[in-house]
Amino acid sequence: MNGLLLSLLLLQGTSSIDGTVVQALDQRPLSQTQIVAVPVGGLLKDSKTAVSDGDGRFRIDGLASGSYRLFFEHDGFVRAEYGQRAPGKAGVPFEITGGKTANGISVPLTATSAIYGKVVNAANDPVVNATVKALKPAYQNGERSLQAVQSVQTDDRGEYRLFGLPPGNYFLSATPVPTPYIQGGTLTIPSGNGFSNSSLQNTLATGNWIDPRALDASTDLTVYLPGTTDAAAATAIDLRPGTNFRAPDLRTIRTRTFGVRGLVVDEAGQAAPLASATLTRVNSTESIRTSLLAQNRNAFDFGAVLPGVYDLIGLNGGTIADKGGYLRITVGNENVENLHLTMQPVIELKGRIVQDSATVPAAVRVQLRGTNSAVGIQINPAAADGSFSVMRLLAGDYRLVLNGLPANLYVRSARLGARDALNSLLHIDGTVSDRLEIVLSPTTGSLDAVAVDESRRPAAAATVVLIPSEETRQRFDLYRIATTDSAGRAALTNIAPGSYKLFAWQDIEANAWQNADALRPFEELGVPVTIEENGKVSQTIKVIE
Amino acid sequence: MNLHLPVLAFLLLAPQVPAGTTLEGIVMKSGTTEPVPRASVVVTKVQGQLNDVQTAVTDDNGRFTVRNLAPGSHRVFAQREGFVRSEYGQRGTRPGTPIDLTAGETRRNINVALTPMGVISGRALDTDGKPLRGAFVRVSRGTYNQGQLSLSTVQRLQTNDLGEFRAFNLEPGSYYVQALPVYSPFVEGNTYVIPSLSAPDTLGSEPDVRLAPADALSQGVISAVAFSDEAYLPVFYPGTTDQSAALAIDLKPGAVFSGIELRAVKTPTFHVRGRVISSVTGQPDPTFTVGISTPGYGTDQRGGNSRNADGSFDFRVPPGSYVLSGQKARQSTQERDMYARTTIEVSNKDIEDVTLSLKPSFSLSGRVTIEGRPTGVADPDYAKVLFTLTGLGAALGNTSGPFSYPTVRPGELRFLILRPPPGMYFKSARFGAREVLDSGFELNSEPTDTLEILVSPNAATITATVVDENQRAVQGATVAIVSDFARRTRQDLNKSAISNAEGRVTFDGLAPGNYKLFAWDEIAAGAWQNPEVLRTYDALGVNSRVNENSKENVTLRVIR
Repeated sequence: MNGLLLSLLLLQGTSSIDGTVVQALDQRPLSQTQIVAVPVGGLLKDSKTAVSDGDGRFRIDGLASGSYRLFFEHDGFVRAEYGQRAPGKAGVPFEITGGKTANGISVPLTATSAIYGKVVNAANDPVVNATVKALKPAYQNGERSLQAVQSVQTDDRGEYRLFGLPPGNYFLSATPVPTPYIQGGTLTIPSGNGFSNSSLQNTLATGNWIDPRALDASTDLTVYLPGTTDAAAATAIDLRPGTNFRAPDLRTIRTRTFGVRGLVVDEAGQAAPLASATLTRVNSTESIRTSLLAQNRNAFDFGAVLPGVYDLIGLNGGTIADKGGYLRITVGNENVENLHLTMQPVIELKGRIVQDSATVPAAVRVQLRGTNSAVGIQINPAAADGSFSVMRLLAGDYRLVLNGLPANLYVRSARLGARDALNSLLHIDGTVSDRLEIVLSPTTGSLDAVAVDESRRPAAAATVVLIPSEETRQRFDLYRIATTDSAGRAALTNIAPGSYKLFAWQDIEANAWQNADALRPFEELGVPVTIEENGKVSQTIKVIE
Repeated sequence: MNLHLPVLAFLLLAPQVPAGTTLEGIVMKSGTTEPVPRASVVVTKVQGQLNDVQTAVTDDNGRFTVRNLAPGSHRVFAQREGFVRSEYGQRGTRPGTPIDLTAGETRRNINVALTPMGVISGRALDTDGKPLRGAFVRVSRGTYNQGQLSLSTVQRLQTNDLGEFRAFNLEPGSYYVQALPVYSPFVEGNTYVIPSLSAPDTLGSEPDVRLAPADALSQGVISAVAFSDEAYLPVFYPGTTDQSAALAIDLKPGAVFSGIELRAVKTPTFHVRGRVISSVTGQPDPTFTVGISTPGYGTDQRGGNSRNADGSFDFRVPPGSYVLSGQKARQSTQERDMYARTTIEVSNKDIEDVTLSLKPSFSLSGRVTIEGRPTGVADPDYAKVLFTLTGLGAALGNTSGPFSYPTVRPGELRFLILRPPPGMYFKSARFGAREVLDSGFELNSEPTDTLEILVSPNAATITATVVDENQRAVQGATVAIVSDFARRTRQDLNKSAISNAEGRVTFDGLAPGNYKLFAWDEIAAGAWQNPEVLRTYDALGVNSRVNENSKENVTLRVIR
């Protein structure tokens, strides 16, 4: 390049980036990669694009000085960004200063993989339109469950193909098309996320088709690899980059289902009306069903119930219900008939919510979640003096939840008479006379964390988590999470004063730290931290690789 | 005989047990004698109870036996994965036949025919022959409505990473297959837009995701394709972007039509830029919306909305004909809706400076007159005159004839006659000096003319009787009546019905003129509206000419 041209370029102040895109697995060059450089804080139209050539090389010209994010896309590879530590992680901006060419950056792209296979039934026939899911563990409120990252339907041969999966561990499940069932006077046909109902009486009058599966009281269960209906017993596939994994056949399992039926009575044993009846499987987020027959009837009728333990809650109205009943029901291998659900007056719990010299925000609502699946709700906002009432409680043990709490407030205390309502279950029964006294406070603290690696260098894109001390581990509202920037810094704010442990992970599944089993191996690596009211703490934390 | 003795003995010993009323039959593939094993058979009783419903599964020979039925009228259904569910006696559009059983009766040969469903499979490929992953593939039936072919989607699939798709459980018939690459994100002004139309047929189901640059960056979603000035075009089998050149696949029962390759076609895209303003104030308004669409593609093309406060819009589209339309919904009852519509040809360059000037909607009024009745006098028959004008719905009318449409948008108006009153037909519609009943008319501003509709009480009737080769009446045949060509869009004069037990169908409300009638034993719903289909049967139709008040009878030999 001659000197004049170089000066012109310098005057214009535009720069170039050139580099190579390679396959992460073997460092071979990757052609046909789509690259875009997007100016940070600039106009989208000033973004520049490029495509890598046969040697994986690319060059982006005409970039003004500034900060850019560089994204890389290629079919069959995980979308990548310049500076990211691992696929799916945040990248770092690329700084350009006038008139220079940034040479020789090398960006590795990780190949995605596919899982394919077949779903069959006990007779080895293909199962058509079954939903097959690739799952990963997820954590919520300390509970581990498997969540789908991708799902597909089997075709007429029972075959499926899940693709575009980043390497890693995956669980695999197959769920056949849900079985229609008869419940009360209706024929219920599940479809999609809902179901349709038709009147059994009308169907019978015209002699119309009834799905035979609705008649034989059975259903097909979700099956997990290697062939279990128990998600906890599922085993993972270790999916290597760029592979086509032929999964063993998933064989569906059919099981009997049962009815749960009974009458609704008042305390004198007389027939009593019901507005809604809900069946909730204990220790599960699934199988919440509402009886359709319940409307203004003195009976309830659930069809197609799987064996298990359930909470049945009946109410005689919506938010204004004044009578409710509760039964814990165990469904074994026969219909559960002739139950009596006794309706009793619901319990109303009065209380007061206050905040040091300020009005409690109107959006704040008190909720009490029962271990019996009952939920007590505060319908109206707290009055000017902070008084509120929680309706629809049935006798049982409850955990206090505050909804709509602004981020800068924390619950300093909650007491029912002499009892602590914040960190322990509250037992409520018909004789409750104490008021629930809740005190909110804005005196939250903050923590500036710096995550460092083995050699004390700042660790970017690390997950920094502040975990409450062991006696308050179930208080999921106390946890604080942030991701470190390129200098390894993360700011945790709005922290309720108290004792905590600080952790930093380079790679961890979201909320896994709320699960005692998942946290145990790391317990000793946490740094104890105490946050005072309005306190500000700085702490360096070694990142867990 | 000996075999039956124990049963008889049992019956004699226990007379309270009802006699075993039994149905026996075979489930077979339709049009063959090939048995269908492991089919589910469901026998229901008309006006029965749940415990009257009996089920069976066919054996290896397709045989089933259902015992212990209650006496009465029963319906017999069969189903198996991969087959169209069917009822005993059902064929095409012909409904099933219930079976009356008396106590103790055994009815044999209750055979149910099941039609196997087919498969269409193949691959979508990029311009360079590599698999096109995640492309949408649409499998459609061609349906004819008022003589116009329109495609209705029966299945929508997405290709996998190998570019493969497989549509299954398809009933026999003809299908169009089309590949539509995923709608790419794009940049509009300084906003990053991820179209809601990630799938076709979902226009308006959810809004586009519109992100400010900082949000798009923090979510890390920005893709190089958003800056591309090329787009994919929808490609029809066997490899054309032109719907009229698409070929239908004639899928036979149980056929697997595989190996289709749909290669993507890329085209440069061009900007259509302009401003939307009010013709009243000459100013833009943030409540104005603008959309662009291709006539004939309906909702396939992305609409898009102008969100710029200065009324500017900027669409990027492949070459082609587009309709650019703008509107504003009125904010109060004092205001009027406003519309604008213009056609744009995009060839090989950007289109700049389009001004879309929204005009207030206007009203159209008119009067229905029933021939021979005094005008301006309340008459219940006026309420029975049912018609709509395209896009306008039913008129606000009264029982003495006058009607009005308060909010008419500029554009073409055509009649859709739903139903004349019994014994009547639509005779004419005059708009100013023009006869517009069959042709429609265009309106771009508040008209000074009124729409005068004349209904005559002297309609003709044609009764058709369908017979077979032996002159026996045929029940369940599809009988169609077709008018002369000029009135082919009139659905009051072009219609079909199913013959009754006497083989008869009556078409009333007919205007004087020439008609042709056909009767099919089995034909796909609406297929007779396809002029191509109709042409193949032309020689088999029966002509009938009617005058006012004619009562014609025709006999039709069923077409098998």
